[in-house]
Amino acid sequence: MKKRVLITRKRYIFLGFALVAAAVGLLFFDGLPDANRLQADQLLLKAMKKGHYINSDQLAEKIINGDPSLLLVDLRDSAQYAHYSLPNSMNIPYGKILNKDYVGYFDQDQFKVVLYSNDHLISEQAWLLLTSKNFSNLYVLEGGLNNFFSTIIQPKEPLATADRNEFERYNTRKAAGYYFGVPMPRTVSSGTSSSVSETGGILKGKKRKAITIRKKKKKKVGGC
Amino acid sequence: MGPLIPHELLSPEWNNVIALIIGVAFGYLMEASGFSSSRKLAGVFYGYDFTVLRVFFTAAVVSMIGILYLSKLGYLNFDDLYIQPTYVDSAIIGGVIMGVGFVAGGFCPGTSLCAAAIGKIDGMVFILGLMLGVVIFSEMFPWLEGTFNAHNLGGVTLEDTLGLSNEWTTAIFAIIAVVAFYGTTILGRYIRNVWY
Repeated sequence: MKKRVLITRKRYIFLGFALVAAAVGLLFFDGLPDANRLQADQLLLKAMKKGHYINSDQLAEKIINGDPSLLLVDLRDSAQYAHYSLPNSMNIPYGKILNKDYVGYFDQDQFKVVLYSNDHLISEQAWLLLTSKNFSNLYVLEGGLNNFFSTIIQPKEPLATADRNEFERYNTRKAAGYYFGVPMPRTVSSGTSSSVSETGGILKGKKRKAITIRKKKKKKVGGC
Repeated sequence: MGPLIPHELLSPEWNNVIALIIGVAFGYLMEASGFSSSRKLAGVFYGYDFTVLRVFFTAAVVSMIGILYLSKLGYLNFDDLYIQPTYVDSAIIGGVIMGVGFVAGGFCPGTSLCAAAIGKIDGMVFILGLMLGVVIFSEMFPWLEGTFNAHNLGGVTLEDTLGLSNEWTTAIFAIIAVVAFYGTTILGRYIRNVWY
């Protein structure tokens, strides 16, 4: 009887240590590197669908309408960001997108994140990296800022033989350009210097909106 | 990756089947632990039997450890787990009523079904009382609704309120559990034998 009690006691001591060891082990185990990542075939499918692109016209419309679900991320370095950026965008340099301080802006389902840089190569790479980590709601500005400039800020006047839709689009882009700092004709004639190509005028004065990122919580159904 | 049904690895029709399998297993384990005895259950309150503390605390800690390891290994998406919303007023009032009922009746709802399943009359009477309580609550719900839905904190976790990571919470609870098990073992040596 005494031997049986001793064996039971040793067994409980071992189990107690095993429980505590397993729990303490959690503090040191960061998980497998590939855990929670999107599988290669799923990533390829998403990339090929091209549903993650947003063109300059769509983005301009969202910015002008003040879409509250939009979060613009400028992936260029801070010097370029300070020189010119889209309204209410935030600067997360490409090399820091996986930094713990910034990853919360991507791992959330509250905002639609639009990534942009000068062209769309860097932003596409960033999109791939972040999507492979199973983050969603990420978009790439098609053609980057270069295309945004040539489309919205300095739209090309259509040929006289172009159809009506082309002219309407051109007029819409011109009107949008005023919002982004393109001087209106009367401003140019008075001699003030607010050329967008130099300073991005109006944009610098705009107040940046404060963004509070809530931790990603999906509504789940369940319970007793 | 789990959870299986939200991630469409199993169809929703499996819900009831899985519930049945888990229910059978749970009932078996409760009966095997002796939880169909009202005196054994009430023992944790009167201080002569701490089996309830050991079993449920072990279950809770093992679940916490298991879920976190599964999440870290990529088998479970932790963010997709359902967290019961916390209604502060309801939780406190319900907890008091549940505590009084547990000590007075010697059962909680699950264990009363266990006892009734093996033919215990006190379990059956407890179930009748439980159902009567449900009916009374349902009829009185229009007056109780305000209190019932008051102070909803949502699906908060200890991580949200205390700022401790899930890993630290689990480690701390595991240590508390083992200390509690050892403490109650020592305590058991000084408590007079109670026949039950």
